[in-house]
Amino acid sequence: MKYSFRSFGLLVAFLIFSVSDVLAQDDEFKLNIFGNIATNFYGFTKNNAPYLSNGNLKATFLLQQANLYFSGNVASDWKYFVEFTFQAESGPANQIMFHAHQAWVEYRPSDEFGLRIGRTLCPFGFFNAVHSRPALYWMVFRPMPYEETGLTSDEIEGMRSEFSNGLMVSGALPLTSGVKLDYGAYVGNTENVNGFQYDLSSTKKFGGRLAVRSEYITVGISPVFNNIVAVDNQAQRNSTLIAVDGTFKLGNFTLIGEYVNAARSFSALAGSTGFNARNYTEHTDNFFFASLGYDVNERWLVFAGIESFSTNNPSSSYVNKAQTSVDAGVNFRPSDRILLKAEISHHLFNTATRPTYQSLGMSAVVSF
Amino acid sequence: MYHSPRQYRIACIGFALVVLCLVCPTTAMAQVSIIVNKANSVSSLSMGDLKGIFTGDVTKFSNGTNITIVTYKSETPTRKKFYDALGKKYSECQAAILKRMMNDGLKPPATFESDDDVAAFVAKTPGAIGFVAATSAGSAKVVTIDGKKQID
Repeated sequence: MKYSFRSFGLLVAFLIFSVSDVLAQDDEFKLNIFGNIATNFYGFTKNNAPYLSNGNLKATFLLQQANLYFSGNVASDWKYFVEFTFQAESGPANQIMFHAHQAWVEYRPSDEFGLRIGRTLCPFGFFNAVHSRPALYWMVFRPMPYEETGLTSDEIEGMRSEFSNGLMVSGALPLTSGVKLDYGAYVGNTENVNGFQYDLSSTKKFGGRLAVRSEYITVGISPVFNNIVAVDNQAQRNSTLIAVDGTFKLGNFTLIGEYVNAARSFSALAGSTGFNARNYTEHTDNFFFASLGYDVNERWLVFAGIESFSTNNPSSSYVNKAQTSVDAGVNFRPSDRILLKAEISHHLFNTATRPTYQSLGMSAVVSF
Repeated sequence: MYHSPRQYRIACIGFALVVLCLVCPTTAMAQVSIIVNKANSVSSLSMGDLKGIFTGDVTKFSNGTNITIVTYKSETPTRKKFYDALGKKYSECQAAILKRMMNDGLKPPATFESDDDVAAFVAKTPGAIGFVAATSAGSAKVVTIDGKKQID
């Protein structure tokens, strides 16, 4: 524990002193390279975190992460974008992951219209837009559906829309003075949930987002339809997601929130034998989070939030029991490119396999 | 020279007032100009346009030219003045720009240390837009904001 904290301090110091401006940028902006590095320290009480065995307090550098971006204009109305993410995850997983999160080209003749081709992050709700970019959110633990550290139940993963490989149109249309309508619609393949069990090449995804936005208020709605064929060719699964999200700013306060409803249905494929209904149960999941941030000044921000997940899936150990967490924390920006975060959370899971526990998270993020 | 401590105090106060009169108007009058490249046909913007540009929401001028945001590497009096006039925190604008960079491929802002460097970069870069102290526009073109040559 002592050495963990010392290592964390050394890492933070290293990051602070190695900070630089945007990594590279040519005179004509045909190539811009930028990114961020994050180191996260997590501590848990009791023996309830799924990664950590017996003990009163377990602490670890659970997740280290680097995001690297390449972007540029290849012509006046054409641009490209590539995003790589590297993650080193400790704990029982103890793995290093590498993702090409995004890779697309876009024709954008105006801010009102753009056509994107390639692998892109879906415009879905509030949090998918910031996704796993720790410089873009104030919490250390992301909301449950988006946290990839295995701290939450597996069923929850289907609450997010994430990526699509295909086509997307998007833009912002002016409605009245200071008010715009954001739109985005996409069609493509998806990796979506439980990637080990489903044939990704046969998945289909349709979705989009509409949002009315002013300087102080944004309200959006995002429907998504996924059709996924199981690799055993016994069944296909349809999942319909609807997200409603909002951002409200009042003075130094910012309130962000998101509600997601996911309805799953399953059916046997023609000619299939041995379809196991027990493993393909129709069910509906609900998730919401809300977090309130207060900018004390340019450097300091404090926040508090709540999130909750529930499902009526009879095969889940959490059936009809809400998994709820409350959290509070602080952000400090010692410079324009460094963000230090700390957060304490109280997880009211209250099931036989995962009783209530508390967690502490600290994170250092450096943008370059 | 002074016949009493009282006369000395009065002289000191008078001197201080003269210094204040000389310094304060200069500080209060330090205004900011918005500059673009001379080849850019845009000559006027609204404060709403400016907020959109410096939060990454607007990426093209009305004539279709791609926008390059130009700002400062660290806090300068000009930067503070500009964001105060915009009614936004610098960190808030940077966060909005970062989100656009990571989601929509917005080009990162070009950053410099001084007004002269900003003006020189804008003068040579089509599509660039920056802000400098009104006296430092150099050969760049000053655009009006809600009809005014300077914002304060």
